[in-house]
Amino acid sequence: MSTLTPSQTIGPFFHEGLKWALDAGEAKPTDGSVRVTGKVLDRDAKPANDALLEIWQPAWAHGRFGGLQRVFTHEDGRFVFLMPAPVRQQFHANVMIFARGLLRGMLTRVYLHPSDDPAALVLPAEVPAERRGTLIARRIGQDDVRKGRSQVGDVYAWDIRLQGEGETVFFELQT
Amino acid sequence: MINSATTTSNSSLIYPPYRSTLERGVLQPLVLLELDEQERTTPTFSRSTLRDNDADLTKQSSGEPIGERIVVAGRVIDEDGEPVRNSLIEVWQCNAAGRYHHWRDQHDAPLDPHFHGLGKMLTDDEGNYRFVSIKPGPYPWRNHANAWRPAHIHFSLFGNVYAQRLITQMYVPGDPLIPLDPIYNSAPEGAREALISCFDLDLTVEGIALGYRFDIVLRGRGATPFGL
Repeated sequence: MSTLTPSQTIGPFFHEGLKWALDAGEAKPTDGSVRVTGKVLDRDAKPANDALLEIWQPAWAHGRFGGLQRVFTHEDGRFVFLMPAPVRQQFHANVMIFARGLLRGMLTRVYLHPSDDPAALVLPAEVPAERRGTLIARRIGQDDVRKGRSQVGDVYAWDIRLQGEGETVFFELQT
Repeated sequence: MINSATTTSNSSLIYPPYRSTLERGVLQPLVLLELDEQERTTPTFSRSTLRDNDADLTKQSSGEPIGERIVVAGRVIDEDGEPVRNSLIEVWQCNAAGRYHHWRDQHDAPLDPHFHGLGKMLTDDEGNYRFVSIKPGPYPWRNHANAWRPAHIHFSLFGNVYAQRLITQMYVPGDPLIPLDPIYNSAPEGAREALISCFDLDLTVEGIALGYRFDIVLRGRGATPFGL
């Protein structure tokens, strides 16, 4: 038995070291993908402009490195990543957040409800009913960037509230 | 610490001496989650993603960086002592003067045109890794009056299963700033000591660089899949 090596904050200076594996920020949306965009917000609803998000969807071939997308929040705290379009089925992505002030990576999930039946969305039973909404992205329209082209993709909104009112549900993994 | 069947305590996510945790640390209990089989794997990185000199931070430029050359090496294992094989490690650090090659670092210390402080590598079949670098310098930060970070190197590890994802920091033995550092102290007593590397004469390269050993234990038991 050995002592686990403890986590430490990622700090504010990680970008240069980790940007080689950026994916969705530059990747072009393709047929069958949608964009999920939002902000990482702190206790005072102030956007975090120095967060790393790692989106892990092993079942979706779009992401490099076996389903990983790595994105940084921008100066305004906003992030963008890709998910498969939830055509007649729901999808979720595992999202791990690292930032200054976070002592460890915080795991959450974002869910896209099935396009034909929003009420059919299934979340883990352990998520308290009153907090389910923090894990669900809302469809807000179509991607301006691609209007006028042959394909038009949906855009979903999903904010991550680290602390305070509407605090996002975060998970601890069973091992 | 288990509070109930489905939630865990997270009081450890706020450490007031490290001020940013007050605004960003999660308050609500964490919800226990079971991943499906596919999600228990982890992102994969092949050796083809590595470039020459990714593991020698002193050889990433046309000239020699300033500072004390060091070798950092160690072994990555899981809770059972099994090696974490062929797994990605990324490292980043400031230069010998305490300045990061990063647009946000405004510390009034010189940049070194020959040192960017960025590296990556995969562990071998026994879980071993090794890289060459420059000993990082201490630098001031604004957490409290006259606050200085001890010399440290940031480590990012993916492990062999998703639950092993870890980002941490390695410290250098004998640094008088370590016990004063709120970030070092934000890790639990009895565990934080594992963040301090050990001087290891066997790792030194005679006439070239001093050696430090930093072994890493990731969570998970019997978790390392066969065939990796």
